[in-house]
Amino acid sequence: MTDTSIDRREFLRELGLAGAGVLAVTSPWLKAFADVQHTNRERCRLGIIGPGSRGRLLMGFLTQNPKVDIVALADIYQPSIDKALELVPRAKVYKDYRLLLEDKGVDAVVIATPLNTHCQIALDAMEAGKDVYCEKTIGYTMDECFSMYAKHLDTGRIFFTGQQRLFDPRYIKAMDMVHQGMFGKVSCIHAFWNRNADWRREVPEPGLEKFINWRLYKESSKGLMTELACHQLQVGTWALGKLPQKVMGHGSISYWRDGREVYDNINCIYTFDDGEMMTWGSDISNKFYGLEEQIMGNLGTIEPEKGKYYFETIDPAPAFLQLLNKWENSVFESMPFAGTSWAPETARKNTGEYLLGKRPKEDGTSLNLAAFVEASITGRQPERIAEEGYYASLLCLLGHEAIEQGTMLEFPKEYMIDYPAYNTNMQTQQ
Amino acid sequence: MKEIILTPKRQKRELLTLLVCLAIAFCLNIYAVVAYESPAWEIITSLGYVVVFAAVLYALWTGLRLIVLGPRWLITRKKTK
Ligand SMILES: NC(=O)c1ccc[n+]([C@@H]2O[C@H](COP(=O)([O-])OP(=O)(O)OC[C@H]3O[C@@H](n4cnc5c(N)ncnc54)[C@H](O)[C@@H]3O)[C@@H](O)[C@H]2O)c1
Repeated sequence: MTDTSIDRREFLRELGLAGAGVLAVTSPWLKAFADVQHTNRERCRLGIIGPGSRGRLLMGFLTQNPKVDIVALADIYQPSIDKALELVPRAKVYKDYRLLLEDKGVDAVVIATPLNTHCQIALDAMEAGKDVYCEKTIGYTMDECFSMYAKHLDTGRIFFTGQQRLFDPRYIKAMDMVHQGMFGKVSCIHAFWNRNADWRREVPEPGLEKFINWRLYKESSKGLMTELACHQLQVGTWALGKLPQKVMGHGSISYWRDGREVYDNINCIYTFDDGEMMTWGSDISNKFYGLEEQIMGNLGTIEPEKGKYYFETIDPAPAFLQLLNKWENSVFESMPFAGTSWAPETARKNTGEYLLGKRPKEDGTSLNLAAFVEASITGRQPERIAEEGYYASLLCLLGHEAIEQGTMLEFPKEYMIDYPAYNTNMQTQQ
Repeated sequence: MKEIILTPKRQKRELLTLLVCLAIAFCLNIYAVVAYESPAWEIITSLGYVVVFAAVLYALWTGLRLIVLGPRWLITRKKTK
């Protein structure tokens, strides 16, 4: 998004998505940009609650958006405030987020605090009449997520979550293709996020350990599930167009035994009504395979993170080479040393095709924020955006719960919301 | 080192051999396109393979001639010395 007015079609062309088939069905939240022309002279006055590492990254995007004024900051840690003020020197500073919420000059807030603090801040913000962009995972428990979503409905405030893949051109294109059936029936999704890093941050004094390294402690985080899985599980349900019915999983601290309380090695299986499965795994002692969501249909595979897709049947080699190959085979196969009658099913070389001609410059975060700003200005909540974030959070929390209980859990019906996109398969389960 | 002189007659014959190899490869390509029901444009797009295959044929043919005719040539050369 730039400072010039663009309509939706132009916007899609800029993303390299012109001509995509069923976008309105697959990614209806993109309609948020339908009003950009009319909102050009308007501005959204934003407050940032928790301008830490992520918060400041978001501020970097927001300060580029001509429709945004970051007018206030709230944080309880002075070094975070000092760094944030370098980006917005004129912003008001609050040590208590509740004071920021009382500020009538703030229309909307971005919440980028640790997981265990999201819910109360978001509830208070919506109650105070502010629109809310809350980082994922939205709540520390499923109950919290449910009450946040309910508050959004009750107050009618705009509610966005930090699920930036919803605005990532690679993912939008990938889902468009999946939903058009280009990859056949998708029965399996392997999602994983590996890295070789301890996830620790330097702590200036020991007393701040749990505050700075909040991700590593159970009281403030659910570790890899809430920090990483949340993004990728959402991709799975987006692709399949339904929610899983059951989940089971295991977690362990197998490498980084440094006093942390959250797992460094996790595997979960989510199963769906028609036999589909989605696995999610993360090991943070090896980064060889990095991160990916391998969406596998009977006709092909998509790896949106790489931005590539691969069809199962690739064009045959030129006839001339086929002929030579046949001769070669008939010579060698007739010899007694020609080998076994089985062939190992190692992956074939298939370099695939790029989803978009060039690698997109961004991962959807700035577009997610831009859509939030548009929605806050127009007062119109884009379709399905809050719901996608809600269910993504629920799924990672459910996976975490299954690991903790060491049992297979069914999707809890009490947390179902009125979301037709995903409701049908859950009804058949009842 | 003694220079090897290719007489015009020899040059012509080698050129002809190469042409025959090319023709064989070209015909094989057409046959393959028909047999494998591939698109006709492969007759053109596979020309690279055709040339390489013709070169291989020519090399094989030359090797064969060296094996068969080489010893005879050596013997006659010794006799003429
Ligand atoms: N969407 C994504 O891809 C993505 C990426 C990274 C982080 N995140 C999310 O962003 C959030 C923040 O992560 P981070 O890495 O920036 O953490 P961080 O520790 O760097 O920053 C958190 C900030 O919140 C402040 N804070 C803590 N409690 C507060 C309170 N009660 N009131 C006001 N401020 C408070 C801290 O002082 C700190 O400045 C997390 O929820 C995380 O999951 C999302």
